[in-house]
Amino acid sequence: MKEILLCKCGELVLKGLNRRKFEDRLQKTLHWRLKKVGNFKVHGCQSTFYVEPLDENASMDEAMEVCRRVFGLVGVCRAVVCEKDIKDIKEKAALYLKDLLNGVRTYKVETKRADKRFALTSPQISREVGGYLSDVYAHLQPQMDDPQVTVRVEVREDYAFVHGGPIPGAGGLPTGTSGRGMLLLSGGIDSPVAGWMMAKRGLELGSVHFFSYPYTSEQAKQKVLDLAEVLSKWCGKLTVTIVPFTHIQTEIRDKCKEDYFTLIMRRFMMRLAEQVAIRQDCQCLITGESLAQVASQTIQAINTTNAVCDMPVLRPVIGMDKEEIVTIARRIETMDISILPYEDCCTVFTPKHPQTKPTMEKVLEEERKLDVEALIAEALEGIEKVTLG
Amino acid sequence: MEHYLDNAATTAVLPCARAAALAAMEEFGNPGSLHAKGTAARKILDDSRKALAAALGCKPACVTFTSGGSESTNTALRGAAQKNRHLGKHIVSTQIEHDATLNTLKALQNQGFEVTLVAPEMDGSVSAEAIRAALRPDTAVVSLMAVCNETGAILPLREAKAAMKQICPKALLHVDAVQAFCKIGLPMDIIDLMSLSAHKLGGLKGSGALYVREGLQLQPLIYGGNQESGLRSGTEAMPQIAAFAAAAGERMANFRENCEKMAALRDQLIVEAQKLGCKINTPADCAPHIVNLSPCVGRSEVYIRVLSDRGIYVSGGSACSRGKKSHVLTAMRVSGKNADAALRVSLCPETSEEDIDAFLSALADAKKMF
Repeated sequence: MKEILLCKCGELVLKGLNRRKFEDRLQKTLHWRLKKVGNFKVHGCQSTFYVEPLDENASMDEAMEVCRRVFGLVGVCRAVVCEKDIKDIKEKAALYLKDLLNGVRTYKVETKRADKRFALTSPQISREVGGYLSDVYAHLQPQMDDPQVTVRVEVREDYAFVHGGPIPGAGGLPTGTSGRGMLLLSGGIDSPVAGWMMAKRGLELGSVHFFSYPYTSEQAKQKVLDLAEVLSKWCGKLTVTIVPFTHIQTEIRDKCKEDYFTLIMRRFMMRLAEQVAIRQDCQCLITGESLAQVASQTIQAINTTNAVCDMPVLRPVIGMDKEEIVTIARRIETMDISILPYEDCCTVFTPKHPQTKPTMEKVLEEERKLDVEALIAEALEGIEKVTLG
Repeated sequence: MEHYLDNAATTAVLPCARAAALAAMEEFGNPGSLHAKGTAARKILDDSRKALAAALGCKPACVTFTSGGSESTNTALRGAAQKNRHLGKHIVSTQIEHDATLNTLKALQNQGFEVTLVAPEMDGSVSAEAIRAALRPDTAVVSLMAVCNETGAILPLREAKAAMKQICPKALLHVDAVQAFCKIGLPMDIIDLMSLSAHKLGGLKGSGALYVREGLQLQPLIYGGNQESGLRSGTEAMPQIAAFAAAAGERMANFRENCEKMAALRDQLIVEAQKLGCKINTPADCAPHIVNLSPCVGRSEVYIRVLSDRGIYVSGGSACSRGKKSHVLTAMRVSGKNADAALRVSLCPETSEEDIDAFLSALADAKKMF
């Protein structure tokens, strides 16, 4: 039996004259991502994209895994392809959904008839198929209200499809339709979630990681690359720009007051991230800051760190509790990597009592002790890039 | 130039051990087979057992080859607890034991045994009085390491046995001698069970032995073809066994001079490290090959990386517990700063003065990073 994936578009169908742009981008994304797992044809019509395997080696399981992570889709159905003939539809439905139907007691059939030339109306098709299924599977009870399984029949232009309902898609808007954003990726729980949330809203991501060897380890760097790999399954190809950060940190430690260490360090990160963002055509920065979660994330601290860059800084988890962030981290499968014990640069030289209510004057006074421009230039000089996905 | 100073984690394979392993691979027969190939392998096995027994100072029948220290400890503790359960369900050990012991005891605790873990003194030693105080008439098993793998502390086995004779004379004494064999003299006359490992003395990984006092019968952990007198079934790991015996033989042949050489370097290391401002977490009377020291600033893993980049290899705490805080230093109530930066430097007879000097000068440089 030939199978096909029906990918249902989400929010983009509400777009007006530029809807085509969103659809094109989504189609391209599906095409590129599926290319890695096999030979598939992707074509779309009427808010659904069809993913058709072109040879036997194309694994439908892997294609499902790819499609459920593509932003812009709200659901993915794995369906059997039928001739537009009620007999073929009935028989294939019974055969294809055998395992699913054997595991439940109540069901109903719902039909969508896009091709109005088809001889039977939607309710007639549902009745025909339902009657046949009840004959084949004696244990099944039709139930219109909240059945365990809804068998869906879709009669389209060239073929009819039967499936047992969609699995949820990733939602959001197709990658890249909202521009590009530069994610500050630390290795913790919050930043991958923040990146994922903004990618979901259609941003294409770049990422920047600050690396403090030997204070932080090669494993810590690998951990960030592993996180980027997982993120890339959702948001596509992801480049991690690794910025050497050790000299900046030791300079801050040697010259500035201890309680301002973290703040001044964060200001350097924002400056560097913005520079990297400009070089890589990004229009915004993305951070995993959550208000008041740590000392450098109080509103006063954010004021002082935000002041060094002109680009908008998106902070999608700013109003979320840790538990809410963790729920998403588990869903997108970054959690298990994030909790590996390797230290990141943020925990090198942490002050005993960090400043939670800094003033701008004080921060500037401390920063004047450093040659900021030279340090930034030196760090940008040592950049290393790794592309995942 | 590399300076390997992590010999308590594992050692380089000695040339004689390597040769013995290769020979045992050539002579590939199963020692259980009756034909000539089997007989030849059986001879290697018998010779290896005799050689290891000679190195230990015991009868060959007391030596059971195993897959390593952890297996030996599991077999010994579970077997001893089972055997002596009629005496009581109380086991005494210390807080500074290796995880192989501590986690086996935890498993026994879940089976209803009561475990008392003696705390070390602040210098890392364990006092005989503290062990005595933990003993009870219903104590069935006492398990003590001969040398602590993290600090090099030597435990008072004889005094402990003397106390056992008074309080719980029938209790069995298990000694974890993984770090002690070939490094200090072992009181074989008082030990009932002893765990040994090959790769800490120039043998291969995946290889060890359990010493069982003559006349003592234990239940095995692994059942099968009744190899190793039924205590450890499974076709004998011939290359590992041959290598173990060869390495132990060579180490024991030069025991005294090896120990003296290592002890001299250890003393030099301690003095120089103290000059650099390091705290020494190793007690005064200790094994010749392990020093635990701490610069008291920064973190162990950073030192390990910086030293490693210069070809100098040490570990923080024990190599088995990377990233975790050392349970031994915690038990010694060592301060947080000290424990965070603690390093274990461990020597072997081949360690040279240059190795120690290279470590000290790299440590002095690394310390400036904090």
